[in-house]
Amino acid sequence: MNKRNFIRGILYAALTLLALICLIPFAMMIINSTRSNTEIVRGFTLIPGKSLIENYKNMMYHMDVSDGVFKGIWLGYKNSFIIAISVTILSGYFSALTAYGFYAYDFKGKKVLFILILIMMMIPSQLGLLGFYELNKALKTLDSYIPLIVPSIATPFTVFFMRQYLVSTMHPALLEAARIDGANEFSIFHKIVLPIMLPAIATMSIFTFIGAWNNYLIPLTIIVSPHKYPLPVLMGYLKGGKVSENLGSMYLAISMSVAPIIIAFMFLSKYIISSISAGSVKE
Amino acid sequence: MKIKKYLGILLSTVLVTTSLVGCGPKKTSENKEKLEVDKTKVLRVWSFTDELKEPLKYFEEKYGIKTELTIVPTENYASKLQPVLDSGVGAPDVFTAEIAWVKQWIDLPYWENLSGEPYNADKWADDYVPYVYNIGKDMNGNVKALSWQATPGGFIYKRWIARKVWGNDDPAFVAQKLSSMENFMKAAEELKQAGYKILPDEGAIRWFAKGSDPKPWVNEKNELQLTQAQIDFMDYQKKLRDNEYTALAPEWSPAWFASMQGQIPINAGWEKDVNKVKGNKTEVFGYVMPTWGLHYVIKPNAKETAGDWGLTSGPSPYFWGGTWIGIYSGSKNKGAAWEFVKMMTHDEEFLNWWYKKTGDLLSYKPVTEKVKDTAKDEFLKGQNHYQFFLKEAEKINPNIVTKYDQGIDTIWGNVVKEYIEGKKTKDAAINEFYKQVKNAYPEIKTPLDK
Repeated sequence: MNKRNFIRGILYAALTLLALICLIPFAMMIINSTRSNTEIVRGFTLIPGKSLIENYKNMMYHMDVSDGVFKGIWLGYKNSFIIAISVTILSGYFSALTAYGFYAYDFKGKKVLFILILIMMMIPSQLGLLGFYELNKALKTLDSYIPLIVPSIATPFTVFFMRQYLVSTMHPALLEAARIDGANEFSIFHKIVLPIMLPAIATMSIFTFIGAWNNYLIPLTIIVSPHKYPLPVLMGYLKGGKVSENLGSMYLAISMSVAPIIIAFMFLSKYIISSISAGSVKE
Repeated sequence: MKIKKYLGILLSTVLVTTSLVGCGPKKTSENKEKLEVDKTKVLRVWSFTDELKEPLKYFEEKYGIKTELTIVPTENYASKLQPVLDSGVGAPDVFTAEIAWVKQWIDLPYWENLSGEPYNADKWADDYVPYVYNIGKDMNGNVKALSWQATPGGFIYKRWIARKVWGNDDPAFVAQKLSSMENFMKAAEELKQAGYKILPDEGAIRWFAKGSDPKPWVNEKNELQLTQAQIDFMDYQKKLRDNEYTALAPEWSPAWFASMQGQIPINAGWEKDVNKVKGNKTEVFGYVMPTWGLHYVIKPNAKETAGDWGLTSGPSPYFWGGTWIGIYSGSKNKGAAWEFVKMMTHDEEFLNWWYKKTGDLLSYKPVTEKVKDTAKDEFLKGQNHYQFFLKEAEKINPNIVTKYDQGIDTIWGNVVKEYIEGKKTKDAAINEFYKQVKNAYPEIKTPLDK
């Protein structure tokens, strides 16, 4: 009995240590956002500083961009929300549709197409950046949200994940039953398949949302007008200060920008856990 | 028959268009194209710092033209700006460049030629500190970018240490102490005996290496030039390290910043919390920093000792950094753009206001002439920093700036570091330097090619 407790003690100690290692960067970020620039430069302490309001004012002063209604970081929030939510919805719906197509129908070239999707997954999107820029120049869609939102209709990894999910959870008999009852193909998808896929969609939505929220490179190259900047690009305004200035404001802006992600995670995390274990048991 | 006819038409159109294109640039200089200031258009300015924020507000009030400033972080600036300038979509009317990019962009058709009509910036040649004006010229001698500032460097030191060690804190006296590298080493030894370190890290003297034999990294024949001075400075750096003359606090590290305020442990390096590092504490005597280093780096980090600092010259003059400004050649709002560039670089009223606000060293002589006799900096115990920096600025040779500087400086810094840390012999380090330069810039001829 004692031995067991001993082992357990060691395990807990190790786990606490790991948790600390994971949490300390976050703690540093949040604490540093309340400290002034010189304090940050001189080293780190766990005691919060008194410069939070000053940092906020300084941040708003530097992010001096407005579209008439929203200002500074709030404008960044608005733009990022528009982009991230549209991307999440489009990517979730259309990926589910594609995945269902791959699962339910047999057609010519199905295997080849699926392999193509797998190959697409392996190519980092940064590689196509130059061509992407040229394409948008030709389409005259530079400096708009179209290049940021519309391409998310085709998200190879999400399609792959959802197809695997369908294969493991969905029984073909369900579809046959619906067909016999006279449902057309679209209402089968909307009324039967989509609800079943919901955990998978939620899981992927978190990743898509985080990806779209944190996307820096593509908006940086595509968007030109400051009032259209999403949050990460807008934060660049803080780096325009003199040598190593604005550190406190930068920490504050980063802390603020992470908040929506944490909230999104809290709402959707129960789906993640249920979908990770989904399909692990088969009758 | 028909084909021939079409061919004829095609040929004539080609001829006409080429002759028109040929006329293009001439036309602007002959017909005195008038610049119209359109007050309804928004003037769009791109920069990598927020320095232009206040001037743009001033401009809005004075001219009644709305402006929009876009700040792109330094590390993304070039990669964001270049495609925009190439395609012209969403391009700014005015954009700035720091010294690292000026030479790369000046020979490309990005900036409007300010030597031509209706700008005639050539007339202003005598109004500026020479090196600043000359760096803004392209290979044909046309002015494409101007600057409102000059950024010569100096040696910024702590007066109380000078008093304690030598009994004299006068800038002229300290300048004498540091007048050559031999004297510099002697001074370093004296400081060490008294328990101080002359510099935070040995890399700081790299600027003197360039200044003591001012030659560009790459000459007209596209050959890499490694001067004897640079090689000598490898040894000076090693000597600084081996004799423990420095505090081993790398530039921009927390320890480096902390050393301005007070004592730091030796070799704190990039440690986050400098107080945690055990070891003997020491104090750094001085910093090799230019104009902006004084105002924006040292002053905010040495608030408690303000008023007891000094500014003097090191073994050789140098300059570090600087921002140039010009008009985008494809801008549709050149009138307002020119008004802004003019205000920023050639408007006595504005520059006077700017000087009073920032105390920064201007490059526009009519203003500097007026203020240089009365200028003084409380931080430097009332020393006249303006006169000092202006004198240093006159000594600078602008012909040593090339578009490769940033890249080659970095490579050189790295190999020198390997040498002083004893990882490589001198010859091996130099060879490595040639190899890496060749790798990065295949067009440059290095001694390895022979």
